[in-house]
Parts: sequence; C-alpha cells; structure tokens
Amino acid sequence: MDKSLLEDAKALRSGIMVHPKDGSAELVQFANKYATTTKLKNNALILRLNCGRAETPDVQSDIQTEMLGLIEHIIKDHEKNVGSQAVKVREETLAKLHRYYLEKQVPNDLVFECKGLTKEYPRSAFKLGEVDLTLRLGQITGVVGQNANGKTTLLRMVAGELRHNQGIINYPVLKQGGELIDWVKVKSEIAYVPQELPPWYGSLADNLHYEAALHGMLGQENDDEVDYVVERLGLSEHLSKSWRELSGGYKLRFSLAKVLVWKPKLLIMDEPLANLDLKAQTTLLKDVRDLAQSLRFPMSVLMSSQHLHEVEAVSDQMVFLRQGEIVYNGPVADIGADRTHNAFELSTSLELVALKDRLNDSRFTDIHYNGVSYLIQTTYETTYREVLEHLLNNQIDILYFRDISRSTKRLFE
Amino acid sequence: MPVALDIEKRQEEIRGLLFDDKVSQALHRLMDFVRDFSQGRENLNEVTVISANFRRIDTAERQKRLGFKEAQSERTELLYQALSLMDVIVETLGVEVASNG
Repeated sequence: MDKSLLEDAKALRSGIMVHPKDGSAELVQFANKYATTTKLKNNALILRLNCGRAETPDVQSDIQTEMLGLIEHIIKDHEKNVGSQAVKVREETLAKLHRYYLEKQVPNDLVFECKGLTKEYPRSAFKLGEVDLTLRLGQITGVVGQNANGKTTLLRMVAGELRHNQGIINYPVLKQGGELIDWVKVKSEIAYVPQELPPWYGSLADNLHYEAALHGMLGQENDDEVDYVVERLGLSEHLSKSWRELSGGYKLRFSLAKVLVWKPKLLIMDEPLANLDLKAQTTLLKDVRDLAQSLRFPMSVLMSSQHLHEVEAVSDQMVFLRQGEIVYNGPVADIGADRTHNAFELSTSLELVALKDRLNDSRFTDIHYNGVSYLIQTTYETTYREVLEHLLNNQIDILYFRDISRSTKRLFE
Repeated sequence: MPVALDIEKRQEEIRGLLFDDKVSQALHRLMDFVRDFSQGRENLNEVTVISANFRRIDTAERQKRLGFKEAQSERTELLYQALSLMDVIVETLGVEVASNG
C-alpha cells in the first residue's frame, strides 16, 4: 500500500470533516494525483462544485458523505490500477496525441495585406496613410488613436466599404487582390460591425437564420449553426426579442452573432467597447480572442478602440494613428522597445507642487497633470519597482498607478 | 506549443473554470474544444444542448419553478455528461492518432 496515499487520505478526511469547502478543493487535488480514471477525477470536480453551492446543512452533510466515499473509491482504484497495463496504454496514447499536436501549426494564413494605402478627403484636407498592414488568421489587431484620426477610415477600407486613393490591397486567403477584386466574394468572407449598429426588424432568431441562409446554410445545418452561436454567445434568453427591447451591450452581441453564424475569415469591429460596461467589455474581448484562435474556423480580428489597456491585453499587434499618420504599427510585445525613457500614470491626493517636491530626484525627469492623473517620466534605467518604492518611502498615497512605458498610451501624450 | 493546440492545457482550462464555479464560461470553452477537436456535428450539438439545458435549469431555479435539490441533481447530471464528452473526444482522438502511427 502506498504510504503517502494513506497519509494524504487521512489528512483529507479530517479536512473535509472540519471545513468541507476547503476539503472539496483538496479532494480535487487528491483525485488528480491518485485516481487512474478521469471518471473519478470528474466526480471530485463535481462534488467540489456542489459543495460550494450547497444551501442547507443537510445538503452539505450529504455532499460531505459523498466526498468521504469518493476517497475510498480512489484508494481502491489506485491500489488496483496504478501501473497496470491498461493505464500504461492510456498514458502512452495520450502522450502520442500530445506529440501529434505538438508538431502541428496553428492556422495563421495571411487574410489581408496592404501597401502604401492612402485615403484623402479634399474638403477637410484630411489624409490617411500611407498604411502598410498585414492581418493573419488567429490574430487580433487593435487600432487606436484619438477621435477623427483615421481609424474608421482604415477599417472601412479594409472591409471594402470605402475606396482607397492609392496603394495595393490583397486578400491572399481569398485569392483576391490588385485591381481585379471580386468584392462580392471578399465581402462574403469579411464581417464589418460598425460603431453605429443598424437596427433590424423581427426577432434575433429570424435574423440569424436569415444570415446563415444568405451564406448558403440551409435546413438542419442552418438550425445547428444558429443554435451553436446563440448558446456560445449566451443569447438564448433573448432570442425572441426585437431590436428595441435590447440593451446596447446585447445589441452588439447580437450583431456579433449575426456575423459569426457564417464564420467570417476577417472580423472588423469599429469601437465595439464604446457602449459596454466593464463586465461586458471583458466578456466580449475574451470571446473574440477565443473564437479568433479556433483551430477549425480561425479568423483575423481588426478592431478600433479607445480602451487601450483592454485592447492591448488581447491583441497581437497594434496600430496607432495620429492625424492620419501611422505612429506605431507592430507587435504588442515591441511597443516602447525603442523608448528613451519610462512613463507612469499616478493618481494621488497630493497637489502637483507637493508631488514634484517629493519626487525631487534626478531619476524623475518630468511630472505633469493631464486633468485626470499625473504623468511621471523617468530615465530609461528607472524601473517601476524603484518608482513604487520611492512613492511609498516618501509617503505619497497611491490611488492608481500604472506603468505605461510599453503601452500605446504613452503615444497619446 | 501554442495553447490552442495543447489539448492538455485546454482540458485543464475547462476543468479550472469548473473548479472556480464558472460553469457558463467552462461550457463555452468546452464548445470551442469540441468544435476544434471533434469531427462531425453530433458532439457539438450535444454540448450545445448541455449548455442550453444548464441555462434553462438556472432560470427555472431563479424563478422558483424548480427547487434547489432538483436543480442540483439535474445540473450534476449535465456536468457529468459534459466532462464525459470531453474525455470521449480525447480518447477517440488518441486512438485515431495511435492507429495512424
């Protein structure tokens, strides 16, 4: 008999008796360590869930009894099966499967590329570009910059909604490009979700079936795909609602569902976070990231936003536009790589004069207030740890602090 | 290895979400998992139905049309079904890869 197994089981039994909820977490670890079948591991996980949700002492007591029973099952399973031929074969099979996928590549075909793209508006004398951009399957590209700096213009040109003046556009994955682009084919694979969402008539369900049918999905395939998208985006409770009955957040999710149902290769979203609360923003960005990285139906995502940190957190590359010109265009990881100083945002109750007085040190090269928070510039060598240490050592109360040295936010200043 | 291709990590993510009682998120990621690693439509339809039923039970419980014990029992059954589906997909894929050398 495995001595550590028995010792762990003994400690676990006591833990479950004293504090069932903590014990349920330890039970999952115990099962993962000693059980040889996924069924027992699943049992532990579900007991953990049920234990957390138990509302009354008698339900809690039942779950406690089940947890203790599962420990005995795991001990018996371990004694009987560990090292057995069947377990070895299963482990080898899973290791082979792991190696098989290790050798595979995630789909990252080039969806869009443009070189020297420009757009001029003679009346306002605004000019966008020249823009060079590549978009790949599975990647998210964030476009940021102040209002009226060319973000929507760029997105609309990529979507084929707006004609460019100069430059070359190609959609390699669709085998379209140059002067002879079949826009019907291109637009059937590109989804554009504008900031001002156009209203629709009828229920969401009808609209989704209609969109799927427009893209060739009929009969059972149409029903299956709509069911999947509705459930995946958590919209089932709102299926029968009309446009006017929906909040801004759900209008956006429905617009997303309407395009995801036909599995576009490129999803373009203009300011999708603009009208969402914090939770809805997080959910949307996480969903978009997960769906973009699908192995079977990957897509490239191009989105504009003023929510820099949120977009940078999920993006692979960023484009920063200022008055129509590209200030940064590259991987998120390379933002600020060529910087000569570091930059930090700080909110504190101190007045500017008092703050400057306490940051009177050669490492702090500039301090100013932008109306919301202080912007502190330091020498390149000064790390955020040193800045934090200095703030704390000098009794500066910190209401908010962020290192923006490697964020496009520093480009706004 | 990119996370999307790492079956173990993808399973761990789903199990981790369940561990933290984020069932809805776990089921959404299970839907992604099934779509990526399972051939045919049957398994995807199954996980879609599981997710829809889970939501239906939560709504019924919230509206007091279903008692806690009944809801818990139905949820438990659905979660077993969801986790078993994930295991079956991995086992089936494993056998396919092994038999193809």
